[in-house]
Amino acid sequence: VSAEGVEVGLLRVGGTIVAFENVCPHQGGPVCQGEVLGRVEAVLDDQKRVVQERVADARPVVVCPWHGHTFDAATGECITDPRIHLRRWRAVERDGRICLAGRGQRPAAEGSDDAG
Amino acid sequence: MMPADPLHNAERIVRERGLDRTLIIDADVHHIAIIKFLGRFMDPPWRRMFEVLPVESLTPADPADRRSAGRIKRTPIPAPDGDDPQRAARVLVRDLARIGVDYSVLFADDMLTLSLHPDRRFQAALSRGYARWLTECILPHEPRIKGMLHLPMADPDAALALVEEFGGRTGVVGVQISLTGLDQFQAEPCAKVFAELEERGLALGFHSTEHWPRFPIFETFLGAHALSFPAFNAMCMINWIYSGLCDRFPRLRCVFFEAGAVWIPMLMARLDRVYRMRPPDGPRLRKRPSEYMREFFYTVQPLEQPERAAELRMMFARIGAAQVLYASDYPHWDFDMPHSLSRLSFLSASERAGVLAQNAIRAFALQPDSLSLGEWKRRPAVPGAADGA
Repeated sequence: VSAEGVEVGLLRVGGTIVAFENVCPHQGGPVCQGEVLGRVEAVLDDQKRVVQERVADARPVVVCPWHGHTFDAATGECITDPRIHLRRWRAVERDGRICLAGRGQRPAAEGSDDAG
Repeated sequence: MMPADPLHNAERIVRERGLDRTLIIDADVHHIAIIKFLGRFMDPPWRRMFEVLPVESLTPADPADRRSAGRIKRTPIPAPDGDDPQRAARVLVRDLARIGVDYSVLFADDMLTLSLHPDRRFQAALSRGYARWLTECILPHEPRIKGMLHLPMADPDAALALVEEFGGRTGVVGVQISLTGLDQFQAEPCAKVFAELEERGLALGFHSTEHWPRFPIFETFLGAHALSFPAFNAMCMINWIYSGLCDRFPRLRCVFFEAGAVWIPMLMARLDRVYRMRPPDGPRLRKRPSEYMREFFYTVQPLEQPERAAELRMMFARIGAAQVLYASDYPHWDFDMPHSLSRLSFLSASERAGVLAQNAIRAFALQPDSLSLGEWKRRPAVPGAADGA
């Protein structure tokens, strides 16, 4: 959807609507058009041997289709670097309609003009 | 599932960052999966082989999943077809314009692993077929694409003949050696090829790649990909320098492709250290290895994002910003947008113009007067448009 001239992607995560700007902090890819998937995690046994690699559907992530950078779908936090976030909007669902109430903060460091 | 438009956001970024007013030359873009089509450009009897056999059985395969199980969406570049052999190139030029590129230096994916083929005659035959297709079907019709031939270095005579036949054709700016077959590349038998390239003013590209089976020590694609690109470039560069080829061919412009930037200062420091300790082992050198390295050109895609911004500034200072070329590597999964370089705040305005275009003009001996901004950059932006042009 478009809000104040900005493209915002809406995701439903665990019954809650979350909204992020459709710009990946890495190189600007249309992150909200990527796949929403469970994150892949390794399972260890009591002797710290890997017994399984599984998809944890309860903790979905959204994956930028340009380079694969991956963000927690509920919070927008980059799962490999918590300093990096998608820019989040506050979304409120009311009477079957979704209201976007306020622009989020600028994403953290990665890909900023200050790089270097 | 593909997104509705895999390059969504690209044009807007180019406009927002003012790159629509800046000439951009992309030193490294790729044809995808053209090999099946190339059979018709090969000499008999090779041509028949392509007509009757599955192409997959003719070329060395790499088991890596570059699309990350579909998480990464590649823009589909159509394979060439017989009815419209320029179609794939047109799509490529259109897509590159959307990421802000005005001119591109093109090379074929399939050539990157050709040097692994055990039959040297096949390497030479397919290199020749590619040169024929590139110079007949692409370069004369697409002035915004410049091309590099593939040199079959396992057969220096065939490589020399290829340069002599195709090196002067429209749009050819250089040749590439695929470093997957580095062990076939011997300095002395190949010296006559380098002499011919220098005489003709053609650039010599060393194209790194990842080919997982060449690094079976790695259990994951992550490991193979992270190390193989800089490793191939570094191994080739070490041999090139210690063979004394820099001084033997001082006018030959060498370009090292696609290994990021971090490896370059590391190798400079390592090579200088051992050279100081054992100068008798490098009798063909007239200066420190790092001094030769500062004469090479580098495409630094995929550019690393180190923990501290100052590290990147140090790397560019060591390499020399004038030696760095922007390259997208499009449409590969780890492609870089032009602002991956233009946003570096430590670059001066002239250095920024250099990495985006002017350094490539020097590296590939392009004629500046013949270059212009792409068509869409010359159109006014549409106010409020979500995605620029």
